[in-house]
Amino acid sequence: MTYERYQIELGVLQNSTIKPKQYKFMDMNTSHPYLAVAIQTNSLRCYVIKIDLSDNYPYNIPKVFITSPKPLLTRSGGSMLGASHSMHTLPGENGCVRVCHYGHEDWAPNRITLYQIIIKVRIWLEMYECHLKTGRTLDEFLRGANY
Amino acid sequence: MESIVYLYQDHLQEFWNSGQSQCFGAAFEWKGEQVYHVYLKYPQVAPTGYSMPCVFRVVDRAGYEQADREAAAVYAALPAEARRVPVVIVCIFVEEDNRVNSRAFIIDGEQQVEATVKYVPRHSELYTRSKGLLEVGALESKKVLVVGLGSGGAPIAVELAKAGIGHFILIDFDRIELHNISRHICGVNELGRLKVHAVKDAILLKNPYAQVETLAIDINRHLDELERCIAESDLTIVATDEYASRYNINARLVKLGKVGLFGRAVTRAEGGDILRVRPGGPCYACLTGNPIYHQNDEITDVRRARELGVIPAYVSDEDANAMVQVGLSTDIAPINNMMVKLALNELSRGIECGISSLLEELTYDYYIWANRRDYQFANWAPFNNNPKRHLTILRWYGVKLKKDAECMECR
Ligand SMILES: [Zn+2]
Repeated sequence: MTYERYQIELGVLQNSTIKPKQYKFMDMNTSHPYLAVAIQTNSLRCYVIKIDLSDNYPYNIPKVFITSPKPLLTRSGGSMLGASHSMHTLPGENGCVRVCHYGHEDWAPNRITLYQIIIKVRIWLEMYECHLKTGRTLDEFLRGANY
Repeated sequence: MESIVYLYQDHLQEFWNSGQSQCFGAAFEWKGEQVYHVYLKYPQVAPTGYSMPCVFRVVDRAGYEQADREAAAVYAALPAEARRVPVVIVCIFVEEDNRVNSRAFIIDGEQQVEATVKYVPRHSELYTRSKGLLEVGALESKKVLVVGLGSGGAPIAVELAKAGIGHFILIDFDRIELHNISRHICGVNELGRLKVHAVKDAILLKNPYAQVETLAIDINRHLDELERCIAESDLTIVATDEYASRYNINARLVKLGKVGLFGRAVTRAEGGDILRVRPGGPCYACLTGNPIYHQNDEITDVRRARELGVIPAYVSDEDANAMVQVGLSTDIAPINNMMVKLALNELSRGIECGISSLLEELTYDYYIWANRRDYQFANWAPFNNNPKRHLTILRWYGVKLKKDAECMECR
């Protein structure tokens, strides 16, 4: 990520509902920079996500992992580390579940910022908690709800 | 059948300048066609045909008139091993005014045949034919960067060389492989070669005097090198197959105020589009953020599409294979053709020449072409029944594309 882009991202986050103590850019001068964000859901449960910025962000869609709790499990205690269309996950890494957020069709690096990715992951987490309560897949919640 | 021997004028000149009276070269025969190309030094591009020995001999006027005897004598003096295959013997006579005359013979044992000699001219004479329509002298000094040498970039590069562009930088880290050969300009005899080398040769076959720099690198990992190449070039042709490289090029075009052309085929090559990025105009990110733009690139390789995330991880191998949608070469040709026209247009800007009127008409930044009424073009009008002049197939449409005021890449 260029310095100019970093400034833009920072500006968007600073003007957003996300508090400064919730997020931190990490290892920015290395080949593996990432953004760590603490997210609290409506149920007041806390999650930590990692947005990997190493692969040409914003030109490639960044990988997003749930680093805490690790690993995230399904309602029945099953693994979510595989790719699943119905649960909107991609193959996990280092024991962390990887969330599918923006797809290839709707990725536009000049309009989408890290803030919007965080919002999408927040929605994913809310749906995940609905899954824990009801056992229904994320896909079932999404059907009809065009977000 | 008449035998023809092709001699390279600059090789002859070098030989004459060296002051030698005889030297060995190599001839290459198109078997059964009695066409021979004779070289005194390694040509820039590997020669084609079956090789045979060749001897050059300087003779005086009398020797030139009786060149058949001179050639026979040269042949007889060759070691027996050299005479196991046919030999080409060229007798050269240089007149007082430096005019070079040559006679060539193909000798095989007792058999001796005189061939017609033809010359491959030097640099200055190679492009005299296209002079007038294009200002060849001016184009020769232009440098074009081509990123991606697949079924798009490779033919575009060669076509630009044919038009007289004199300098190229080629970037691609891929090799010629079986799965892409049917649509590529390179043949099976080039399997395994780096595309940058194969396309460089294809350029030199059309313009032996072109200056071609090759870089077999992944630009996404060599951004400084990419910036250097864009800065040095008059125009960048973007013919890569993935988004990150296009965005990386775009960012540098915007930063340096350079011109670039982005071309691609979509899905099953049912159509394609071209974006021209110029200083002050919309950039590539302005386009991809616009609803008019369809993200679905043509998918030609499962492994690569998976790497790029175009085919998501949860799609089975079987389904993924069904997504590989290789279009026909003939469906890609119109896009390449338009890319070349737009490229020549940009390179001729400010130069008075035969295509100047085009420049006044090709003012759009975005162009769309449909090969057939499939997928995103399914609701376009039929070619043969279109009284209301709706959008139809097999013609170009220029689109007025606005710069995205909010674009984070070019605002
Ligand atoms: Zn832009």
